[in-house]
Amino acid sequence: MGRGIITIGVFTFVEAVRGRLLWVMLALVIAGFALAEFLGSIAITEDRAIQVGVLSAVWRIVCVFLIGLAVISSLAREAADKGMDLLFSFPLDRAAYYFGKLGGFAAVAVIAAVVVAPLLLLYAPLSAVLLWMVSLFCELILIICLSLFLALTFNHVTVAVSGLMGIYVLARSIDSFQLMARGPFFDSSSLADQFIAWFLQSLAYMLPSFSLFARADWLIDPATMSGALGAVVIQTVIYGVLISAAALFDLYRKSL
Amino acid sequence: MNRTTQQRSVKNVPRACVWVLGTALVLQLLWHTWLPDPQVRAMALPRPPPDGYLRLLGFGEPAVLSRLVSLWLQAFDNQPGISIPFVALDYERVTGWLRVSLRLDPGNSYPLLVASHLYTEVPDAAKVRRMLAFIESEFKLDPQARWRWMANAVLTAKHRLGDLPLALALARQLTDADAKIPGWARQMQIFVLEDLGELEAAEILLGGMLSSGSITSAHERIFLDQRLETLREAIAKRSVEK
Repeated sequence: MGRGIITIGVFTFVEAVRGRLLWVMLALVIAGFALAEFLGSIAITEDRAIQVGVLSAVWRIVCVFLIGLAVISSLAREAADKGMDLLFSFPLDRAAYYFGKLGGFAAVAVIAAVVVAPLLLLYAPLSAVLLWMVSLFCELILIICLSLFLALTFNHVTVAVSGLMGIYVLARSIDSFQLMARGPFFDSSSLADQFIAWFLQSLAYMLPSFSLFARADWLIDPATMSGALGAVVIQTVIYGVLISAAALFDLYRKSL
Repeated sequence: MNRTTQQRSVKNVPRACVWVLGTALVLQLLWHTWLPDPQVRAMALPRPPPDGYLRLLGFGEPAVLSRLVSLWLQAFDNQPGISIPFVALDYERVTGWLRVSLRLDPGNSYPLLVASHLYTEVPDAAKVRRMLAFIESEFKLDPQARWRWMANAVLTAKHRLGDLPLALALARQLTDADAKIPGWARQMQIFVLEDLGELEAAEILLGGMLSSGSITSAHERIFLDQRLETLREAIAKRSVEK
């Protein structure tokens, strides 16, 4: 199984490189840097905070979008070319296929997290940049797991991409939704209000806590980052295992 | 991708996978139970950015951005989980954002509407005065389009603040403006003068208005004639008392 994982992982990585994914990333990181420099040049004050905030936030969104799209389109192509059917006709455990794909794209995620680091170092200290990089890598691992799960479950590019973007936006904003549901207009005697608050709470339990990940305020003010890495790693392990198990559940049930 | 409708039985899923799935689900629920609840954080209104920065964000649609800025500012008192009273806002920054919105689209009436009807409804005279000063300064830039907000400012100064000299100063600008402003708005100065007890000044102003021919409506003319007559009687009565 180990060899199968490595082989599929290497081919997945090579496919991403040949698909010019890394060049697109390089072009976008330069564009993000140019945008950050431009906004910094017109800012009256806090120019460094604006530059590092814009660069890190733009890069995080770009990585999530690019890698999610790359994973889903890769699986779609394989399904359309019957490559997946061919692979499963060999004595290869289906888990090896899943973990091979995960490993290959994780290598792309490492590059995505590292490529922006030299530019961030222009604005923030090394410790903050390192923490942010590791946190971005963890976030991208979860995005890869989610993309694999959605692509394998729905077998449809549009649905999988929409699902991924929907989950991502919801996970990033669920805290605000919860606060609004229990805000000044919350009526504890109203069943509808209670149901909405309960529903949002339940939804939050099933989503990854992305609000803990790759926060720009670590780079702006490194004093805010103490104890952040532990929570990020724990959430990555728990949610990564959960989504991987769900994806494998579907993959093992898939009929060729 | 072709949609696969047939699936193999659950028995094909390794038991370990099902166990891991169940365990991870329990851990995820426990994790969220352990995490602290989201905290309410009231955000202070930021300073408005330079116009160029905002125009960049508008993607060449300053009119749309102007309205979005107005809506964002109006809704700023309602942040997730907390409601901030208007009076708690920094009015220097509020007027800064309203100015930005007007600069993006001078034809947008939203900033002046919220300035005269929302931000003046606070129990803080200094903040109301700041908002009236904002309306006054914007009125001077385009009296033709903005006279109605200035008229509202006169009423706010007179009734909410009880500051008749301020109401008079604002009303005088309405009367003197080089724009096509309806008679009732121009005549506000007369009524403020009456309230101030400056009956002679009110009489002169009203008489001048009637003799200038600017009042074209017959009914309005009759009404103002009656008003002028009442003023003259009041002046005569006051001179007798003296």
